[in-house]
Amino acid sequence: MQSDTELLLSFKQPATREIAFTAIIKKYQEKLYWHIRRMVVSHDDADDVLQNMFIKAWKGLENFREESQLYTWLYRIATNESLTFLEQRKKRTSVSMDDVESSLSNKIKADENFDANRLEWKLQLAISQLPDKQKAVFNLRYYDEMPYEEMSRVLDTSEGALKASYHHAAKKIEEFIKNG
Amino acid sequence: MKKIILVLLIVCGLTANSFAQKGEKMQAIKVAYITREVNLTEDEAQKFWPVYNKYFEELKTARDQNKADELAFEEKSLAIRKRYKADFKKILVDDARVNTVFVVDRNFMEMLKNRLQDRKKNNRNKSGKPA
Amino acid sequence: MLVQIPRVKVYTLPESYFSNVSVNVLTSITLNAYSKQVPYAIPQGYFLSFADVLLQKINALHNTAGTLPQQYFECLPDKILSRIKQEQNSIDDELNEIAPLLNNISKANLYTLPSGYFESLEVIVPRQTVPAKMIAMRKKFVQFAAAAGIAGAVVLGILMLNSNKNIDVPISYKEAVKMDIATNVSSLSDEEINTYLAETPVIGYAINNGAEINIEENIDAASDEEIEQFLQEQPDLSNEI
Repeated sequence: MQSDTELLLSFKQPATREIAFTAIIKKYQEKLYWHIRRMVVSHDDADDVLQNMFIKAWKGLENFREESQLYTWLYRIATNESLTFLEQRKKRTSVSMDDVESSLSNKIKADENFDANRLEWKLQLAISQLPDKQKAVFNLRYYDEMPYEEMSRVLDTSEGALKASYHHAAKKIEEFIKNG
Repeated sequence: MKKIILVLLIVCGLTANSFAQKGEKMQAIKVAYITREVNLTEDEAQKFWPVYNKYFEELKTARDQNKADELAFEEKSLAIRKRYKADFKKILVDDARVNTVFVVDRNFMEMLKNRLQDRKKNNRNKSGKPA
Repeated sequence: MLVQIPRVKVYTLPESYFSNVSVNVLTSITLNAYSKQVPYAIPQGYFLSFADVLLQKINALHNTAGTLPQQYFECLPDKILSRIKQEQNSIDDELNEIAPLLNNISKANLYTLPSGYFESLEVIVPRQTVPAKMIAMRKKFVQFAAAAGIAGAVVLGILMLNSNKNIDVPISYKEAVKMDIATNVSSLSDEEINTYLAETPVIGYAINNGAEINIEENIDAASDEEIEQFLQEQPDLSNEI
């Protein structure tokens, strides 16, 4: 698998642009997909967001200054797209916060593999109850094991605020699992 | 999903065609040129272009209606520019910048004419014969 | 009371998902080094991106230093791994402090996916980097909305709306600012330029065709001093900035 630097160089040449882009997709698609899916829950929604996110990446990649990591930059777009998606979903259906959260829960419960007794699934339900941005923070730290410094570039938030957010999220989740 | 991809492909193909028409590339370069010469910020640009486009359309109409009468065209175009001066000033604030707007079209043309000249010269130099 | 979760994979994904990921030495080193008790799913590209960061640093070192410390490359995988381990350990510790229960839950991916999803994932990108005018696109959009059905058209609409924010200009502000004007002008054909010049309503210019060529030849034949003197004698109608 090629390095990011090679891929970016390749992307800058019009002749190899699309090949490079496909390679970038193949390299990061799974990580990005799962990150998105953990936010939006349903596969179809994750697919939509993933595609939109890559289209944005295509447009922005020309101007990508390699001061930040390609990977961090892609995560940033993916997170923003997911957050926007959830925002729009709320506006469009114009339901209360509670209803939106329960609709995400329903989607989780609808998965083939869902097993209410398994801790892993309780964890998913707990996460879906978090406010959107806090969800992102928790997922990035817990699943992607992202250092706070990098996360601050993904979410445009100070490290301190992220740490606090993560701590609160983890506690909330633990509560939910113990009591649920 | 397949249907969506199909439609997307078709539209992409079509937009490629329509883009080639009508000297859009020329327009794009002009936009870039004016942006640079007037030194527009992103906010200013948002407000500027609707106004400029209207202004330019009026000038074009005046030119079309006065092909044979240079003086009539000059009078009309002066009137138009005076009218729009206030609008541009609202957006650009600085008098010098507003003035730039009124010369930028001619400068752009000059620049293009010079490039054409250069090309002719280069062709002559290469082949030894006039282009 | 901590509940030990058995390390059962909850995937419904067939193995073929991951078949297109190249086997990477670093990954296999890592996998061997980590017989963790907690069944974390190890992120794929994560280690690869670490390699990139460090490779860049190595290159920088190479350029400035000239010689590398002995066995630099031998030690490198260990260095990378220990950094990763440090990060993971600090995450484990962090979680142990705030919510220890969560440290014992499997991080494997739970959700079901359609089979072959990643293999067949295709992202259709805009063909031109400079988007066409919204107006032209809207007309064609309406035509195809009928043909393709509403659902397809809605997706299209969203995509097209995203691609161009201002109807009034053919390019966005960002594109305008970064355009290399000289290069773009060079790529214009004579015809395009002449058409533009003919259409533009500027005072004192008219369309010239054949007659001009000979005059211009003569102008070229004149020396620079002759031309300069001539221009100085003219009333100053021009106003250059």
